[in-house]
Amino acid sequence: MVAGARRVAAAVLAIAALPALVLLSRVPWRSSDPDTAELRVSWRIPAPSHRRCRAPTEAELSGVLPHMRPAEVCSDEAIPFHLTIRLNGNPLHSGTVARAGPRARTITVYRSFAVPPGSHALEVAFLPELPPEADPGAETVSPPDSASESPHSPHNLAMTLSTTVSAAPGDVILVSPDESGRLLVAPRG
Amino acid sequence: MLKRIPGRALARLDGWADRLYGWRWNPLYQSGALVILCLAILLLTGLYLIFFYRVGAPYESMVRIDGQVWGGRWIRSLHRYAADAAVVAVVVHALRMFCQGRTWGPRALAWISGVFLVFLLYVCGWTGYVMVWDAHGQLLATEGARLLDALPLFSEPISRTFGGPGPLPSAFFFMNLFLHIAIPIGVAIFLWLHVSRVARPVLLPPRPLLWTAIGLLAAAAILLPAPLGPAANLLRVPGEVTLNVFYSFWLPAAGSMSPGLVWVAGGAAAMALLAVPFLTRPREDRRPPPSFVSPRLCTWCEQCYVDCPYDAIRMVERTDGRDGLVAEVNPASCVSCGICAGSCAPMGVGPPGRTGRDQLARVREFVAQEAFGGGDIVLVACGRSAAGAGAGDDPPRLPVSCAGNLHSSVVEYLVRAGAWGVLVVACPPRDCWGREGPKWLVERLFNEREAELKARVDRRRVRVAYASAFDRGALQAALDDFSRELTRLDAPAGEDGIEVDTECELSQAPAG
Repeated sequence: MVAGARRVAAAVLAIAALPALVLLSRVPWRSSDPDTAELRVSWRIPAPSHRRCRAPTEAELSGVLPHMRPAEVCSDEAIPFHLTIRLNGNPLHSGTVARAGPRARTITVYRSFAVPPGSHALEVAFLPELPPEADPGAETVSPPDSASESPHSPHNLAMTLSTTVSAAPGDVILVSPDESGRLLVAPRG
Repeated sequence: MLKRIPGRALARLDGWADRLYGWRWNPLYQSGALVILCLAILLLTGLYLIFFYRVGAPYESMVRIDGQVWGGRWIRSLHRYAADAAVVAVVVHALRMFCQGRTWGPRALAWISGVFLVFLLYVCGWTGYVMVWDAHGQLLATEGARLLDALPLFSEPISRTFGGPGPLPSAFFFMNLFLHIAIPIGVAIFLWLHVSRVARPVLLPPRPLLWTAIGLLAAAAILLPAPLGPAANLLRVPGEVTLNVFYSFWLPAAGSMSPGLVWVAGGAAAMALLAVPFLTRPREDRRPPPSFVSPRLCTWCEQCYVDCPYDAIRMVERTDGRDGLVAEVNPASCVSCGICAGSCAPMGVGPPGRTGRDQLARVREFVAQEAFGGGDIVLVACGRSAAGAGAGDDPPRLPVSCAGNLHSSVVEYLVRAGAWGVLVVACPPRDCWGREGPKWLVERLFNEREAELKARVDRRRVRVAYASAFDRGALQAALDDFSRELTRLDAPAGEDGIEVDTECELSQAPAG
């Protein structure tokens, strides 16, 4: 190859690398189905729990110094919630939602579903799974620093929604509570 | 097979690029240095851009950078294209090292630190795209959150952060910005580790290539500036986005897989990369042995210690009753390149079977077998060069493992034995398997570097040519050119009973 032609070829190749680099850095790609919308439920509530207390046994007391003996021994048992989502009467999701761990103070709900665009009847229920028979010694508290009759009691944290929503392709129907704990849909359809 | 096929393809590509750009400016040989150049561009352009970035309004600040800041759009584009080019250079560099078998033994640290560098580069790129907070950034952020949520690390799903309806907290962008700035510090540490086992690391490409690369990237930034996608909207599913293949190539596949499967696939790929030094290590009986030193011959000249490209030789106190220091090879650092063998005048160091004395024995045999005719050129061929495999019409060929391994006494012997000329065919210097072989060879043959070619040898009969494995054209051109030059010289007078100096007087301690 003569030197001149070689130089031209080298320059052309180097310059051609530019559009290649640029094109590969902006390849058009559709990340989602253009004919779907998304239903998203998202919230966080303080995790309620049952506190069960009893008198300590002799064996428990014997292992503790007299001035450190407790009047009662308590244990906290988390109260899970049940989340049900129905779209146009058909179940979309049904499952238990619990706090992430024994030390977690909140229960977080985050689910998303691809749904067809258009108008839909949406029902969401988020209800506590209280034990069927209340233990006489059990007391419901949550969070630890709030009173049982607070807005954070399991019954007050229960939420339901039954509404009609509409979404265009690519829209996100977001279900989340407002400050008063009422489930709302955003954006308002 | 995994190495051979891409290795041959790469070697052919090398030969082709050599013909176009010449071995000096062949960018394929400079892939590692080009990565560092790209990182330097990223650092400088990033320092400029950071002044205009607002964590409270990320997308708006990008719009401002593009529209109002002096040169903002070009510099942002340069920042982005340099990041893309860094990935290309990294892939070429890793592929070269893999195909050339430069991944195991003392080079394992460089390989493993390189894998971590790639990981950091990708995390840094990820945070960079999220910083922009356009639709592509939103997609990367939500996909990252989806993957992280699959790990038992967080008590709450991180994805909820992007659940809406409110704007993302500034703290998120602050953390992202912090990572984007802090990760380069980690990159610097791993880069230091990456080159810590080599002496005199070449960190930047030669100046013409450096400025060409900068110019090309700047031209791309000015002529084809990077567009800003639509702003992220958490209440919209990102539809069509402009995907960056270099950083987001995995998104289409990962998006359709469960997060667990993505982690398994990513983990398997990472483990495979980290295991390369162990998987590519030859069987123990096939590994080239490290160099050794013959203390009796060592004269404390320190040349092997200076020349070793892997800092595998140190000078220690003698234990044989003589004064001074003696060279000692650290087998854990020695890659058996043999460059020390070429550096030792008394031929007292080198890998077993490849010391200067071994080479001298071989050249004696070679001369005894080959009857040099008038006008014969002897090729001294590096096994990895174009002359390594040999061809039917080639002149007499004396193979050596590396041109840097070659002891100048071999060249002296060939010339004195009556060879019309000696053409040493080496790999292009930046592609030397032993790193600095051709550089030291030229210094020893023509610039009086220890162990120099003796003054009694006619240097007009000695030449060094560079030709990569598939660049037969360069070899032929060098042969033709050298032949033309040699025709101007008188026929050489071959000597009988050639004696070559093989020992040096152990004189006083070297000065300094």
